[in-house]
Amino acid sequence: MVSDEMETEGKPALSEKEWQPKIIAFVCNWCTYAGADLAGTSRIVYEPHVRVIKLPCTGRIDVSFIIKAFEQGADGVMVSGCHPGDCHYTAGNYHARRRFAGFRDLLEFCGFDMRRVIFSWVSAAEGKKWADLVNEVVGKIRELGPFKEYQNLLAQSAL
Amino acid sequence: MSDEEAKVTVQEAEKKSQPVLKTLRPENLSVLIQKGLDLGYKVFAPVKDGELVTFEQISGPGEVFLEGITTRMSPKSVFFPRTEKVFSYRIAKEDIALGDQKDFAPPTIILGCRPCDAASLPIMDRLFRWDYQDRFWNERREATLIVSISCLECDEACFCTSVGLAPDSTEGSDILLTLVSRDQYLAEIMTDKGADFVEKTGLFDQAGADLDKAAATKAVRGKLGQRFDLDKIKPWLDENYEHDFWKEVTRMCIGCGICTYVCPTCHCFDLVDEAHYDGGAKNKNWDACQFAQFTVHASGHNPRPDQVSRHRQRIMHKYKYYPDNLGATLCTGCGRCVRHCPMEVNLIRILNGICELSAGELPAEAPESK
Amino acid sequence: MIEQIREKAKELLTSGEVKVVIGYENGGMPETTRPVFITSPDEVERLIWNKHCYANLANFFVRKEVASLGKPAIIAKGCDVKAITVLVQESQIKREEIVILGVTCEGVGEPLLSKCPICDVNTPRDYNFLFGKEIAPKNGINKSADVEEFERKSPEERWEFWEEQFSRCIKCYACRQVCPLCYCEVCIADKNQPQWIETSSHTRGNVHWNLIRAWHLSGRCIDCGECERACPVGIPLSLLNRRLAKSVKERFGYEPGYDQEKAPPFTDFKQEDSQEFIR
Repeated sequence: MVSDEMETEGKPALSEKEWQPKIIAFVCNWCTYAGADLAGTSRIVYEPHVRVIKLPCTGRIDVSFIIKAFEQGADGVMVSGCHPGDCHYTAGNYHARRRFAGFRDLLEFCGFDMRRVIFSWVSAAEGKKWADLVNEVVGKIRELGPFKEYQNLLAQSAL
Repeated sequence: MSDEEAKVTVQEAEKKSQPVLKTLRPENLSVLIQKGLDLGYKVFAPVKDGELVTFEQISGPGEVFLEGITTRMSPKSVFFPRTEKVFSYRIAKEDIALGDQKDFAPPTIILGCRPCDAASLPIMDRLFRWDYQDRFWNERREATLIVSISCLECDEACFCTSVGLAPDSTEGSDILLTLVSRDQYLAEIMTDKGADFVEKTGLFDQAGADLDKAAATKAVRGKLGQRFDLDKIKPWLDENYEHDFWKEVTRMCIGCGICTYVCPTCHCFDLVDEAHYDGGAKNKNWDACQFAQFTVHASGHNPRPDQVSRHRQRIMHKYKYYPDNLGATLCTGCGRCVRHCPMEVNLIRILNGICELSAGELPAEAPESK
Repeated sequence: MIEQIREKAKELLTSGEVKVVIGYENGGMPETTRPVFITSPDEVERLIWNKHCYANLANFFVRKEVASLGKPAIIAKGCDVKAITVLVQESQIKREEIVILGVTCEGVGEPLLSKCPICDVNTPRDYNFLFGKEIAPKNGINKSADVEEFERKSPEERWEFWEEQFSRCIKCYACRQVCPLCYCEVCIADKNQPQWIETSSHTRGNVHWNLIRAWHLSGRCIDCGECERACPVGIPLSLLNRRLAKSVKERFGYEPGYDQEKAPPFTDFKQEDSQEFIR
């Protein structure tokens, strides 16, 4: 099928009215993922607009993941792992903490809305904290609306 | 006449046998730009932003900046943007919807182009109208009117006169304006497209016989002189694919893409897929022979493993392969690569070096391949 | 000064202590110089030194076309030496395998490049031989005044500014190629399985590239400003670099290029590192 009318890329599939926040959460396997699991097994009901991506450790989370998520249409990104001292690999989260601190400064400098990038420590025992955090983040992003600034970057003509 | 030759000469056929000469008062140039906009053309012209002068789409004559020698980027991107969506697709429930590009060639004017930039267009037509007909390039070319302005100034990097052009060459222009006196542009109307536009604007006057373009550009021609002898280049390149000279003159090249991206005649591109979970696009992006990854095979083998071979490729392509295959030198002497190279590799220096070597190595009677 | 440099270059080449002297020669165009690779004592006259010796020649250590020539001596300004220090620290070169012909420098360019007024290494911090009169380092310079000024803008203004700047990027990768510390054999931008950074030069792809380029130099960039000098479309890349330098200095008390014994900030951590931004 060929449709000439159809602008097929770079627009959210749903119309503005039906828009719901799209949030990507990069979490570590040992703490936050287990925490999210606990939230589930504890039957805590929380906002469904977060897509969880499990990685071995926050130390594995490259800053490009965050940019890529925005590229693919995310309205917010969460990064979460073990509390300091609790890393399964001893120090992955300490390294990640330095990295995110620096990268956050860069994003802020470039005018990113820092309410769209959330870092947290959520342990395997903190199912409630995870659920509350997701609810809060989803509420905030819903207030902010779609990340239009980023999505519009593609539409810009390049000569 | 072969098919290829026939296509190459399509452009020639559009050309008028004799340019029609008219005049335009300098103060009417702004009026001309406004007329173009009013007639519904997209107008691209040099615009100054800080230190940077580049071609941009303008919305009024006030934005145009016509001083300076060449713009930073050449106007090739009007026809061949640095990134372009060839088509896009979206995965629907049970189907794939294709989105074709359309309306990509609206009526356009490029105003204030230099003769070297205008001359690059018919050179590249040979490629884009060769075995594969590139509709993006060709349709835009047909929809675009080129109004160039002859140079009355040059700098040390300019070398149009050394590649068979001149500061007042008409190649590629539909209309060439030359400031022959303080209150008069001589307008050489080279094509029917140009003549139609001239008629529509009603701003041009009949030219008297006394107007002398050569006198106006004499000073700048003198300054340009002859930077190297083009006739010596290709015969040497024909014989010297392997030569220590290449190593010596390209060692400082760091392999960035500036020379190719600022060049009005470099035209290599890469096709990439940008996919998302529910769709994507096929993009056509500028690429450069100077990049290490440019020729890497899927196997990992790279036939141009070092910067020497990559830099040699650029010069060979411009001064040997393109003349061999398509009958024109792939360089118009705009000097951008010389001006903007962060390591001052300097094409003029290399070509001069070739001329010197050629004097030493070749017999006095140059080989007939030219 | 150039006479002494030439003399030393001749001596080093004649004795065979080095095989090549990496320096500057006349660039042909006005106010330009070109990197030159002198391999014979007879050619040392080509070497020059002036206000237009911009290029950071440390770039060439990791290029095989130059490395294959043999042990190098290099003419280096204070800022260039900082790059050498980082290269040594990151095990790209061995300090004893190069000879640094340090030159004291009061700044390059007319007007001076933006790095020069905030330079505190007018006399290089490391060298085998020093040329020119020693210049005492300036005290109390604020290296991030331009960053602080820019930070006064609102987030919306900052976004708009960088969006406009990055939209101009043509992805020529000159910023990467000219950088002495961008030595990865295959850059992340050239990896295509997966394709992290879009090769397209639409603004979205440009934003990703420019953020990652700056980021990969965080805690490493020594502010030689070569990226900004080379950029053909005039993106103020040094501003990004200096923002990250400020961040690393404030958060981790680290300045690259000064002390090769000190652990680079992103290979290290402290339990008490700041985490005010983490929930």
